[in-house]
Amino acid sequence: MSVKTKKVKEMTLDDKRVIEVALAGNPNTGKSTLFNALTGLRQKIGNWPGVTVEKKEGKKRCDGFNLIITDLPGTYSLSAYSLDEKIARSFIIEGKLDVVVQIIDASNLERNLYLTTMLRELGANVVIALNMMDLLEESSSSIDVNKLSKEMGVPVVPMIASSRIGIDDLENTIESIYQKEQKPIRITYSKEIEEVLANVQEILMSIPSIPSDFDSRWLAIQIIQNDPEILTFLKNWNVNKTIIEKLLSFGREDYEAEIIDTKYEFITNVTSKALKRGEEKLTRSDLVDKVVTHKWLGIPIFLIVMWGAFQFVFAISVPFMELIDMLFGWLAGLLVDNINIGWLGSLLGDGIVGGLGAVLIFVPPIFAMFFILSVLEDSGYLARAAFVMDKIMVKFGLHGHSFIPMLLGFGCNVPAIMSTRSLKNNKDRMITILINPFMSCGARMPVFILFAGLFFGAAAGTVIFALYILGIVVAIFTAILLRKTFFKGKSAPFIMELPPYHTPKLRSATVAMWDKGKMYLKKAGTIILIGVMFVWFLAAMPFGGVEYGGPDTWLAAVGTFFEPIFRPLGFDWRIVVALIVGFVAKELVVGALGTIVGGGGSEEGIKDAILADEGFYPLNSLSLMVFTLLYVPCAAVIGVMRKETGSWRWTIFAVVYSTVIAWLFALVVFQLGSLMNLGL
Amino acid sequence: MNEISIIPLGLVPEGKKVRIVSLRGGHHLQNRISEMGLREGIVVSIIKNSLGPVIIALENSRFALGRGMSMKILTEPIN
Repeated sequence: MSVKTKKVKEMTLDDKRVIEVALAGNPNTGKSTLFNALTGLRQKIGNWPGVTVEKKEGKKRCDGFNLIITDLPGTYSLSAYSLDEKIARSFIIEGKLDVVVQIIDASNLERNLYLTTMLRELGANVVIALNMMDLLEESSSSIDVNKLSKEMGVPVVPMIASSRIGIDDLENTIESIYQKEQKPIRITYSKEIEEVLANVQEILMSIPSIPSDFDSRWLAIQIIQNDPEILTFLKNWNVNKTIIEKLLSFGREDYEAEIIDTKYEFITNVTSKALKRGEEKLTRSDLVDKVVTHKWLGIPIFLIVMWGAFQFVFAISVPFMELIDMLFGWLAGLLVDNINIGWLGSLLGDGIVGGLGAVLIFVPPIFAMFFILSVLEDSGYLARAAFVMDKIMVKFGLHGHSFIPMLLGFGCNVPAIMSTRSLKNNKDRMITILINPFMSCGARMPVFILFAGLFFGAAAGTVIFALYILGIVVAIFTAILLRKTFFKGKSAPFIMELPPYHTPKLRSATVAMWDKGKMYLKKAGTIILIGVMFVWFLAAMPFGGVEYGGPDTWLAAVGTFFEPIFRPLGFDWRIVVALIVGFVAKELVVGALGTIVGGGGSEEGIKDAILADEGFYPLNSLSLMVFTLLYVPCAAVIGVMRKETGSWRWTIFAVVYSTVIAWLFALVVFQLGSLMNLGL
Repeated sequence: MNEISIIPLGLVPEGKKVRIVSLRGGHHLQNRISEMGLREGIVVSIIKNSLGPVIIALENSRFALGRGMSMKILTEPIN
């Protein structure tokens, strides 16, 4: 399971002991705060094998030992019904971990201990990091740490992760227990269940192929609860079919509820000894929520927040964009003046600098978008946005929870589609995935900014805003369509934890911006670079005598072949070529146009070249923007859709559907515009 | 227990405290929300209940429950 661990290990290797730790915990317990406090910036982000869920790993040098820490997804349980739970559980089973640190929100002790009972039943070596002790004191409750530790049979370290209080203690505790075997706690279930468990265990003991790190009692408990993953385990161990059938026949639908209840009884017994509850009262978050989630004010506040977020993105990025533009203009000039070999100057100037410059200039707004989305998420507002939008989403057959992936889609559709894994109902999840590409991601912004800025002057902002809205409308329309046809049925009941409001931390927003923005830079350095070079190559071929990017080139041949399909939308062969390469990544649309029309690498140059060109005018630039908005965002999205839907059929459906929709909408825009003779 | 005093969570006015007496809906749904801590016997207070989802307080956490969901949770008032 630990593909990436090796790399982290290489970084830490000195002759000290390495202790492998996983960080588990419920959502909203300060898990990422603790992870950052422990590891600082020495983190690696990869994917869990086989799934596209983000996996974070970090390391920490301590006095005399090293920690390798893996951040598990935040879960309430380990019952393997959601992807997150499956990942956390199999990592604990197979990860060869020394210690599992469970972070617990001290002010929610009872609920958090549920996960602890599961971890202990699984046989993990657990340390409880009892976080948010300050909040606990505020609520005038108190926890007897020693009693809690004794009752649960694990060490408990009180801490305030956000102020780095208790971190050293935690490290020392990890070191002190990592070689000790903790006895799994044994919750005694009802007589009937215990008898069934004994029977199942007896059969399990007789199967030699079960690996020794699987506790037979734990397996038995999962089997009688009809745990959906156990069947896969048993098959992998080549257990005889009749034995599997016999084992599974012990499962009963009502056992799970009984087992959950018994666990809570155990916990209530612990908390009755270790926890003294204070007065419950309204918190500051509750007061803010009275306004933010108000029945009339909620939606206007949401719109103002979103408007403010977009203003921020554009205001903060303009100076940086100008700077990058100047830099690339200067670089292109330098190349053209100093390189005497004709084709090389053309490749570097027209191809690489022209194409890459056109793409890299949009790094600032894309980074700003990731920054602001992370701020909204950290502050707790994103959950409220989902709450407020629930009323509207219900009308489209979805609920508020589906709205979060939609908002995240404004940054990048890839993580947005991954975030749908927190949706519990599969039909809801499918619809939410399939509509996500219509949410206009950062990579489409370059096309909008370029063309709206060129042809719509003062109205550019309005045009771009209208495009975002069009994306949302098409998404909603598609959701209704899918709900009425392929995914009939009601959406899952809506239940979502609302985290308390936090002041967002500049550092964590910056880290998130960098982590996600890095992907864009990487793309620019790899796939987009190759893409623009390929476009340049086609635009310069056949060798000798043809005008670069002119009508006699190979590029023109490709474009001209497909042009008839796109002529009703007002596109000539050059736009067609840009759109075709745009299938790989939307940034390539501008990059390819930069390469084709030339313009010496700077944004201003491309603008001048496009303005001087008769093939581009307001109306077809509008249909171009609409087409770009609606057709498949990029190859990465196709890949992630395949992984997350688990189906090529639906992935191909999404690609074809969105391309047809894009073509139809662009057609309507262009034909209607021509008919009305708007003079565009 | 008096039958009449049992009302769905979605009909409990803001500011009131209630005890959950039973969860309706399929086994699977009941088990999943039980694991989140929303289970029979637990006391919750209603933070917000007007149009749209209901916000409840459970220990120190806040949960948003959709209308449909909130009608599947039966409660009794506590004094």
